[in-house]
Amino acid sequence: QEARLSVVYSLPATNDLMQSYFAFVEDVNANGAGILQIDLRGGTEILPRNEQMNAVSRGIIDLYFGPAGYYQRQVPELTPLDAAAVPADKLRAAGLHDAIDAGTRERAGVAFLGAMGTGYNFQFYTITEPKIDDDGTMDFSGLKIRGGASYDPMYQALGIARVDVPAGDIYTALERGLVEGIGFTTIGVSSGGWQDFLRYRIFPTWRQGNTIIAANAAKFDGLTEEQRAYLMEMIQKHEMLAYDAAKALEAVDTAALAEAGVQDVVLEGAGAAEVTAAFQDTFWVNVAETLGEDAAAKYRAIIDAANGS
Amino acid sequence: MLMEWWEAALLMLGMVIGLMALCVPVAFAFLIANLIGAYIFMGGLIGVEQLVANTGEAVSSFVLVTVPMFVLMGNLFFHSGIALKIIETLDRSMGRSTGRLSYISVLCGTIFAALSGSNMANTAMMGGLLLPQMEERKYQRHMSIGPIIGSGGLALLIPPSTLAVLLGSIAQISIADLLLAGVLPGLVLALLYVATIWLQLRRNPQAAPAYDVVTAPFWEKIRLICTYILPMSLVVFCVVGLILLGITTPSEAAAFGVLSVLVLSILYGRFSWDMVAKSLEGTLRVSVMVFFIIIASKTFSQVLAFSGATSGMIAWATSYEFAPITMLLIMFVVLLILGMFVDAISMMLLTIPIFFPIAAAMGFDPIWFGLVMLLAIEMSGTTPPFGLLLFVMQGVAPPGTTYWTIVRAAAPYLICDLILLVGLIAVPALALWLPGLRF
Amino acid sequence: MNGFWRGFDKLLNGLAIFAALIIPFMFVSIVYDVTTRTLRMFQINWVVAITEYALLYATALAAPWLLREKGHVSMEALRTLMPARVTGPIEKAVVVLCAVACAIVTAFAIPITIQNIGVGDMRANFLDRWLLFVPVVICFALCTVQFIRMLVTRESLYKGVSADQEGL
Ligand code: NA
Ligand code: NA
Repeated sequence: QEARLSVVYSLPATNDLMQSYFAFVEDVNANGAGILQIDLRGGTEILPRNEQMNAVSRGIIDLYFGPAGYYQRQVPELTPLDAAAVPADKLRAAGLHDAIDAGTRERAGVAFLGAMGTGYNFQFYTITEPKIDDDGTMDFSGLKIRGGASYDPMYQALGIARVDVPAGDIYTALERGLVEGIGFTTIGVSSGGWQDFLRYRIFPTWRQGNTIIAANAAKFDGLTEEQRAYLMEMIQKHEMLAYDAAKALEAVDTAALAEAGVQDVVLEGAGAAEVTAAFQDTFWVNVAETLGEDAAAKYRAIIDAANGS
Repeated sequence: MLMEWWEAALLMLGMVIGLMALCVPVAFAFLIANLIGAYIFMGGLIGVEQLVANTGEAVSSFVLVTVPMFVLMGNLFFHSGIALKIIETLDRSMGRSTGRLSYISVLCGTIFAALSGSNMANTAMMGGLLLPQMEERKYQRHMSIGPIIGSGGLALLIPPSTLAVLLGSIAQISIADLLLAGVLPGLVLALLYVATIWLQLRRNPQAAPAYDVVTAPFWEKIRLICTYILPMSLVVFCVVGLILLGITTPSEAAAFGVLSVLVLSILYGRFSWDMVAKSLEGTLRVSVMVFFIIIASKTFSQVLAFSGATSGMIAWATSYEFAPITMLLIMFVVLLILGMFVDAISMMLLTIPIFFPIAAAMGFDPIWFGLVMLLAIEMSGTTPPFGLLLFVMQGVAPPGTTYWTIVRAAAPYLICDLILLVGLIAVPALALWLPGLRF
Repeated sequence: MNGFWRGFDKLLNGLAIFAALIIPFMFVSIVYDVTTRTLRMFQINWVVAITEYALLYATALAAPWLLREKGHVSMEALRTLMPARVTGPIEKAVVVLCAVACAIVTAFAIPITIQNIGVGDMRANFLDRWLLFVPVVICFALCTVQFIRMLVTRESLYKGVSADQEGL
């Protein structure tokens, strides 16, 4: 008998990152007649963003598509994904998916099925020219950079003055120079039209994307062996297609930014190390605080192994 | 439980309209329909649980802070007596003329549209500010409420406009171009509103009676204008100036508008704690009434969308192939119908992914089409049964002003919106000329 | 019973005053945040998160007071079209319906509040999500009581408008 899974997503349907999910759904439905069909129910117009994972947990809807980042404080077991730096297949081989899945099942009755967000990263973009000291580090202190609360530890480590600007106001904030930069993904900047105001793109990037596929655990477990196998096969295929798509989108944004005259500033040596450390060091401290030392160490071991593979 | 989309739509809308007809307060009518809808469409009791969880999210959104701030600004203007002084000054410098305050409403509405991106905030503020003056001067309701509710909507077309920015980013079109595209149509709309007032006055001059004022001598006029009109530029600066200087975001700017009115009231010697307390009470009444309706109607939009009623309607309406102009009108009508029941952001999330590809296939300019959508959203604030501006106006209007009075007063201004739509179709340059100058 | 309602009125008034004070609090914190940000000194970054909660608190805590004050909008005009003998029973039914709806929301909001103890909110590190549901519980519990009061004391839900004001 054919199973039907309903989906809620937290990004607008027109968002670049959503296109990989839509391709996945199309593929599943085209080849899954008689086995499994996926039903896109809608986005934040059907369930508010902060409640979508709860709705999956309650079993009102079967699948969640979108960033894991929105639920890092509700389901902290999703957090370790951020420290990964390699494509999804390597993470899966190293056992990260299984480890997160075990954690999210216990916390919220949610099964972690796939990481669709490998392939793009986070980095700084600034309006003002970066001040690079003699030792190659960039002077971030006092810079007004837009970011949500989740950026707090890292921004504090770098001395950045985090400015909380709601999404609808980012455009004006950049246009008028209210903030001097943003921390954002390597893709999607040109969709917001922000390249008109941003002048510098700062490397290195500091972490990978974290868009995911999650499911109501009971619903997933209730599928037949064949249905589960088909779904997981498709997810593994599309994790890597999403990786490729993100790389292609990165190229689109790079071209758009170059055309708008945005310059790349590549920090090296101590400068690169400072940015990387500001994320990694504060990151694992926070994971240890929310999940405990043991769990943090366990996740870190898996991720270090994957990142080194 | 599977239903056809139209069965779900009929059930949900039928419940709300039926409950409202029984005189259940609007917010509670939505709430009752939500509870039943969630039970039916979202899987029984867990659906009800989810619905209740959603209520916590509905108004906890920073951009909504402009509503209490602008309403507070209007209340301070009113309770400090500065508003009265400004109107007296205008009276004494303009002399006797019919319907003056109606025209002033449109002027104020246009200026405030350039200050704020929220149609609800502007309508509430101007309603609280000008309506009492107009009542006192025996204006009929359609000459007082109409111009205010009509021009309150201009906030969405004339930048800054939060909804235009959201529309631009969801549709992935140039936000700068979309904001610029709204300027001329917004001004044209204001002119159409002026023409509407003029026509209504020609039919019945007693609807907004002229009243005798002693026109001030020249130097007195100058003195009055310097004392009461010029200082208003401080308010404009504190809102628009601080945005342009990169000091505040559009959402934060309203707080500085409040600050500027407080400073003015001190300078005029009209500051008192009693005045502040009255202003706060007025602000609380309006904001709570509006936000309570937003909580209930936003969750209603969600249950309606969850049931598949809205997406079903959109898919059905766009499933036929017609000529571009027919297709445009179909999409516009769909937006108008959705706008009667669904909040603006949900409406954009639902329709943009479907409408923009259709618009592209029909050869419409995306910025132009974005503006047409914005116009439909602007209209949705005033379309019964669930136009939010209608409820806002009912909340600020004098006791005894009924919903139907407001609906009727607003109707001619909706016709102006339709005339603008025809104008945009006939002369796309109306929208596209300004953005075209950018390059 | 009168003593109970007097105390209840005091509670509603107290909550409304608290809600009213939230408005200047939002105003001052936004002005303070923008000023210090512009001057680059003593920067704070909790204003957006706190304001989002404050909007909900102001709404939820003052809504029962507004209900008593008859400040919630309704299509009162239609009552003048109804035959006089049915308006009374219909109003009673409406009040019962509203009371039941508010009681249901309260009943569901209490366990949700408890479930969210210790669950963080992405908006800020210091906010827990149960704080989002406490005002919902208070709001709908008090609205339930206020609707029941309307049944008991026969106080009308409506401001009362006459037919000629309707223009119908
Ligand atoms: Na209008
Ligand atoms: Na505006």
